[in-house]
Order: sequence, then C-alpha cells, then structure tokens
Amino acid sequence: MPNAQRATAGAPPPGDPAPRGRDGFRALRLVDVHKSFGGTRVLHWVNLSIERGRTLALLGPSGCGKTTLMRIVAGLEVADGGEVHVGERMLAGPGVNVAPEHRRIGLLGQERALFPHLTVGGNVAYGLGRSPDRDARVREVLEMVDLAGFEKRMPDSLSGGQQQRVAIARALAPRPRMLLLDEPFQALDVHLRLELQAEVQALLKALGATAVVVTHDQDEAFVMGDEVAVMQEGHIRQRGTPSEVYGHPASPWVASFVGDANFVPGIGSGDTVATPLGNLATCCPASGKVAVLVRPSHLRLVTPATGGDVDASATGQVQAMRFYGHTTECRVQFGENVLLARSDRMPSVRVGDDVMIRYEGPPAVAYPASAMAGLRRNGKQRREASTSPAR
Amino acid sequence: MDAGRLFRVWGFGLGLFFAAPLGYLVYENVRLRSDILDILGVGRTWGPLGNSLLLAAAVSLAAMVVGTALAWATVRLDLPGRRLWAALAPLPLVFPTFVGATAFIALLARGGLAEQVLSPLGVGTLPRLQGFWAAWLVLTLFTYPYVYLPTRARLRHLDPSYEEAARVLGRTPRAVFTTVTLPAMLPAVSAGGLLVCLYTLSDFGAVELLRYETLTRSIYANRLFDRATSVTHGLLLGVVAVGVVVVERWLARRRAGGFAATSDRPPPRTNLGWLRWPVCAAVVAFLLLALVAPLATLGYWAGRGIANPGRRVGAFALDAAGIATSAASTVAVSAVAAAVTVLVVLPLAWLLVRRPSLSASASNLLVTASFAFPGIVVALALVFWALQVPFAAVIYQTLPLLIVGYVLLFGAQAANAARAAVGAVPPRLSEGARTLGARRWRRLRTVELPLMTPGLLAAGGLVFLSVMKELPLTLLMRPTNLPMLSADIWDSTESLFLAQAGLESLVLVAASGVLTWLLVLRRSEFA
Repeated sequence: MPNAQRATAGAPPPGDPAPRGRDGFRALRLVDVHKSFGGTRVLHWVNLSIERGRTLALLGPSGCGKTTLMRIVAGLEVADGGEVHVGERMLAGPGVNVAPEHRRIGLLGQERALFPHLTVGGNVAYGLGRSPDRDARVREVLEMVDLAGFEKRMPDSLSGGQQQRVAIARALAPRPRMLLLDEPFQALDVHLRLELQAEVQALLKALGATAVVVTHDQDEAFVMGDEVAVMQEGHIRQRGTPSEVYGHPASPWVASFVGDANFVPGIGSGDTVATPLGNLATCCPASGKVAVLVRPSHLRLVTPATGGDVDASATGQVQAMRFYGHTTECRVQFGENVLLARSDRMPSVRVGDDVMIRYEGPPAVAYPASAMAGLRRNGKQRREASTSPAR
Repeated sequence: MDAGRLFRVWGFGLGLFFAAPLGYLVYENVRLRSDILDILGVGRTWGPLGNSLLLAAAVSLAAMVVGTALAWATVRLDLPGRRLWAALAPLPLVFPTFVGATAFIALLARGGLAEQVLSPLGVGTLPRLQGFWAAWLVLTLFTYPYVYLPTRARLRHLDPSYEEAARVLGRTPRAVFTTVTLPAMLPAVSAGGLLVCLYTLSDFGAVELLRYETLTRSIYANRLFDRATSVTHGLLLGVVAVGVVVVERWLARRRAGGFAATSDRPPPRTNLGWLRWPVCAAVVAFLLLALVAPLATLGYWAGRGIANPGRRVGAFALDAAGIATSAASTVAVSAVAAAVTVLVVLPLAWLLVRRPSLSASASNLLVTASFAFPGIVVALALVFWALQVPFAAVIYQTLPLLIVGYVLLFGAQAANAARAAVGAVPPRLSEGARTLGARRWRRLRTVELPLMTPGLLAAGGLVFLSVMKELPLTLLMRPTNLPMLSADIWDSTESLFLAQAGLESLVLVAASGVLTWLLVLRRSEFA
C-alpha cells in the first residue's frame, strides 16, 4: 500500500510543465495538539496551519516544545490528543496514528544522521522504493543541491556543508508532502550557516515546498520563514510575518526574544504616551500605566555640541561602550534605568559624557504595565545587553 | 646515551622479544626437520586443525548470536527486570573456561546435583560430558560476554536519529533493523566475535577436560614423545590465530566510518505486549544455565567436602589448608608478573605516545600481534627453548622463566592499557612543570607518575586477572613445588576430586569476580 502511494503520488501528470515538486507538497494543519512528559505539559493545545508552498519558521528558546511538536508531525512521538493533517489526510487524531514510514514527511534533524555505512547515492536512494527511475531521481536531487557526481563518495569524506546538502537531498528524494527542518544548521559554523540558509531558502521556494523550519535563532527564523511563529513554554505566542513579529511583538517576552529591547515606563492617553523620553506616538491606542518598547537602534544619542531640538529632561550618562565595527552599542544610565542604544554611525560620544537621548523610530508599541510581570517571570532574555525597568 | 635513544633500543628489543615464540617455533620446525608436508599430510593434523577451526567458528557464531540477542533485548525491549538481567549477563566472564568445564562435569558426575535431581525420576548414571557439543556449549556460555559487553555499549549510545531518519524515509521497523541497527552494531559484534574466536582457538582447559581433539590438545599430548608433531601443530595454531586477527583488521578497515554516539537521548524501547513474558523467561533460562548452574554445582561440591572432613581420598576429600597456600602463592605470582609486565612495556608505551616513530610502531605491531598467540604456543616455545639451549635448562620450570612466559603472553594487553596511562599525562603538564623549574626526576615523581598511576594499576590488574585464569602456560612451566590455583583445579578435576575442585574453583571465581568488577564492569554502566 505505501509503495503504491509512493509510486503514484509524487509523479507529475504527463506533459505537465509545472515545476515537479509542487504537485507533491500539501498544506499542514495542527488542531489542539497537546502533550505531556511525566506530568510536565510541554505542548498546550497548539493550533497551527501552513499554506501549501509556504515556509513557516517555528522560533522559540530551547525546551519550549518546538522539537516535540515537529516529532509529533513526523510521527516519531505520539501526541496526547489533537489532530495532524497534511493536505486532505489526517495523519494523527482520534483513533488514527499513521506510522512515520507512511507519512511521507521529509525530516532534516538536528543531527544530519547520514548513514555512515552507505555511499552518498545509497543514502539518497534509501527512501526510494525499488522503482526503475531510482538512479535518475538520485542524480536529479543531487544536482539540486549542487552535488552532482558525488554518488560513490562516503559521507565521512565530505565537509560539514556537503553532508548537510546530502541530508537535504535524501529528505527530498522520496517527494515528501512537506519538509520539517529541525535546527538544520546548528552544527555548522557561522559563515557556512548563512550560506546554506540562503541556498536552502531558495531551493524551498524553487520547489514550492511546504516547510517548517525549527530554530532558536531569530535571524535564521526571519531569513528562512515566510512567516514566523514564536513559541514559549508549549504555547504559540505570536504568528505573523517577520516584520510584524519584530515590529509589533505580541508581548514584552516576544519583543525581547526576537531582538534586544528596552522598556520605558509611560502613561498612555490614546494615540500618544508620555514617557521620560518625551511624548511618543503609539501604533495602537494605549491608556493608563504602560511599558513602551524601544529598540536600541531607535535611540539616538546627542551631545550638546551636536544637539538640536530635544526634550531637555531626557538626559543620561554614557556608562559603557562596545565597538563592533559595523555598529556601536552604548549603555546609558537614564534615571533609574540603563538603556541600550545602538548606532551604525561612528560614535561622537565617550564614556562618562552626558548625553541627550532622542527616540527616532516608528510609532511605538506600548504594553500594559501588568504585562511586564510575564517578562519578569519568564525572563530569560536572550542577550545580556537587553535591559528593562522590570529588572 | 640519552633517554630517548635508550627507549628506542628498548622498544626495538621488546618487539623482537615478543616475536620470539613464533620465530622459535619456525626454527624448531626446520631444525627437527619435521617435514611439515608429511605431518600436514597425515590425518593426525587435519583432524585437530579441522576440529579447532570448526569449534572456533561454531563458538564465535553462537556467542555472536547470543551476545547480540541479549544486548538488544536488554537495551531495546521493555523486559520486566531489564536492569537486573543486564547486570547479570556479563558475569559468566569471571569463569575461566576450564572452571566452567569443571562445573559442568561436576554437575553431571556421580553424586552430583543432576543425579540427585534426576535419580528419583528413574534416570541412571549420566553420560560423561564430552565431545564437540560439550566443548561448544561450555565455551559459548563463558565467552559470549565478549560480544555482549561491546554490543550493549554500542546500542545504548547509538544516536536514535539514524533509526528515526530511516523510519521517516519510509522504512518499516523491521527494515530499519536490518538496514540501520544491524550495520551499526556490526563493528562491536565482530570485534567481540574475534575475541571469542581467538579465545576458543587458544583454549586448552575446556577442550582437554571435555575430550575434544583440537590443536591445543594435540600439542599438549605430543609434547613429550612426538616433539615434531607438537611443534608443527604449535606453529600451525600460531599462524591460524594471527591470520584470524589479520582478517578481522582487514574487514574492520573496509567498514566505513562510525555512527555517531549520543549521550543525552535514551535508547528507544519496543513495547512487546504479552510477548515480553516468554522473551524474559528465555533470558532467565539462559542466565540460569550460564551463571546459576555452574555456581550452584561448585558450591554443592564444596559444601559436601566441607561436610565430610574425615575423608582423605576420593571425590569428597578436601584439603583446605592446601587451598589457602595455593591461593596465597597464586596472588603473589600474579602480582609479581603484573608488576614486571607493566614495567617492561611502559617504555614502549611512552615512546608510542610521546615520540611516535616508525620503529616504535613496528615494535608495537609485533607486541600487539603477540596478543593472538595462544598460551600453549608460548609455553611450548619456551619449554623447548629451555630444554634445547645449553645452560638454559637451569631455568626450566623456575619462577623467572614462568614470569617471562606471562610477560610474553599478556604483554600486549598491558601495552594497550599502559598507552592509555601515558596518554593521561598531557605533554603540556610536563612542559608546565619544566617552566616552573622541575627537573626530570621531580617531574616524573610529582606530575607524571601520579597521573599515570590509575592507568598503570588498571594495566597491572588486567595482567593479574589473566595470570590467575591462565591454565596451559602455568601447567607446563610452573616450578613443580609451586602451587597455583588454576593448575590445582585442573589436577583435582582430572582426578575427579570434585569437592576439592569445587572449593578451589569458588576461590578463583571469587577473586576473578572482584577483579573483573573493578577493571571491566565498573567502567561500563553497571557501577
């Protein structure tokens, strides 16, 4: 039965000029998936769907349940409840649990897990049945990942990047209905990671693949994903395009997880909020005590010499500076708080200088002050540079 | 002459020393004009050679099957009492095979446990346990841990990602087992199988007690009156043993790079449902046969001996004072042999780790190849050499020559462990001590020796254990007035003084059990 499916489902109708892979890929829909391990709930009624041909980046800190969710989709783990649909077919749900070998979901795990006792060709052909066009398919997918002619090599004779490409080719060879990439570039060095991110992203687009990229790295999520879903403690906290998630984080926690964040206290009055930095425009109406998200790159430091029209009350003292080449970070003592400011211009201030602080950014995002408690409770912020009044 | 040069000369000499037994047998063959073709052409060679090969193949195969099955069952199946069976399964390792043979002979002997149980059922005298199947059974029961231990370690640490990847790529669990799990286990299984094969080829005690005509038995039987046959068979056995190692190395090299190990994910377990009860019963039955039966029967005979102190002769005679003396001298001899062996191979180990060179590697090759030599071949070479060379007869059957024999036999083992010991001292630490002003002697005393001590103790412990369990070399080369437990067990069993043999065996098994725990099992996961 699975063999019959394999033989027919992925093959294009004769004479169809459309890109081949597209026919194979399907949408993914998760309904109320939940799971506990030994009394600890790792997934809370997760609902998530991805349209056919789109890439979703599932972003979250380690231990948030994202890998478990992917293993449930692949069939390597059984959920306590909920449904997994790929295309029209329910793979897991009440009374249904399709075995992983019958799901036709490509998985690229944290470990490349290339079979060391098989050649590159043997690895790629592993998921193909005894079909007559097996060798042709191996050649085809190896070409896709720029490894044409590597069939006879052994995996341990390849570089890390090449091994990763073989793993991609192996996952693609059986024409899966969707791809799961679980921290696929974690083991690679930075340079290679950036290169492969771009390559794989282009490949997924060219194939029209439905894919989920699991990662804890927000840069990777933003680069790879058409959309990003942020996960924390077994909940999906926000779902949106990369710019939505970065620009309008759903909570202070999301804000500081996807990037460095300062939070400045304020009093909201509709479209504006009064803060020690002055009256700022907000993107959405705000009222009462709020915390305003200020990204470090939206702060400009001005010395009296270069100064201009600034609210004189917004002054602080530069405590420390870090020069990174392309950017410079300043920590500024501002009242009781320390603010992080980042600029791509050469700094004109020095440690110890008194500076004026100016907000130069889009309409600000304000959270009810009570929301900051959540940040403090879960507050594992990702970079030590990020600061908040909550500390 | 500086130390490095001295070490190199020492290492070179060591290589020659370890190659000497086989070289000497070649020389003897030529000197005695023993017409190899003539001896080979006669049935008296093909018989023992064929028997040796057949037994080695059958035992290796059975041990690989049993060892792999037990390892897989205890790691991957949800058997009740899994951890207990896993911890018990390696224990038959503590029985030297001649003690195992003794136990099974004693089990079936007149007045033994089997007779006690079966006679009410109307079964008369039991047949003596002997021949191919007897040797096959006993050797398999007491050598399979050599396969079980590495295979279990492999399975426990095999990264589950490989099998998961195979599942996701569309293979059924059964297909995943044959295409991924089995190939991943294979290096461990075949390395263990090689040890079993060598062990069986060189085994003398079990086949002699169980009357199965192999090369070792022929070497022993012909050593006095048909020296040419004995020497030819010795050479043949040595060549076969080395050949087995060479073939395994060649196979190992052809195998591709390894599967990655993991430590953070527990191995996946298959839920057997009701099937787990019969599988568990099979595991328990096997352990009863391999562990409980021999211990029970040795204990039974020892107990009967203790209960009948008056008897001076026969199956129930027991000479407890003699056993104490024997145990004491066994410990003393083993300790001396262990210390001497480690001291002899240490310079070579140092050379290999700190000053790698072609000559050091060549010497190392000769030393490690000697690992394949059966004890009886080494003994034969030394005995004939001592009897042949003028003046050497003076040291025949003296303690020094016995120690030389042990060094030759177990040097390879010690060399491996000693290399690990030397490796435990990073050169940077010696350099650091040097920049702090410590001279050679002070560096050795304050930095290098303290760091090497655990490794050297382990090396010595391994030799100690092996010497205690060694039979043929001890039997042929010990001074006539030096009691050794292994040789005593042998004599007692041959004379059917089973009470005596039982108590002696228990003492040896207890001592070997403690050492095996400290040196082998404690280092695995059973601590």
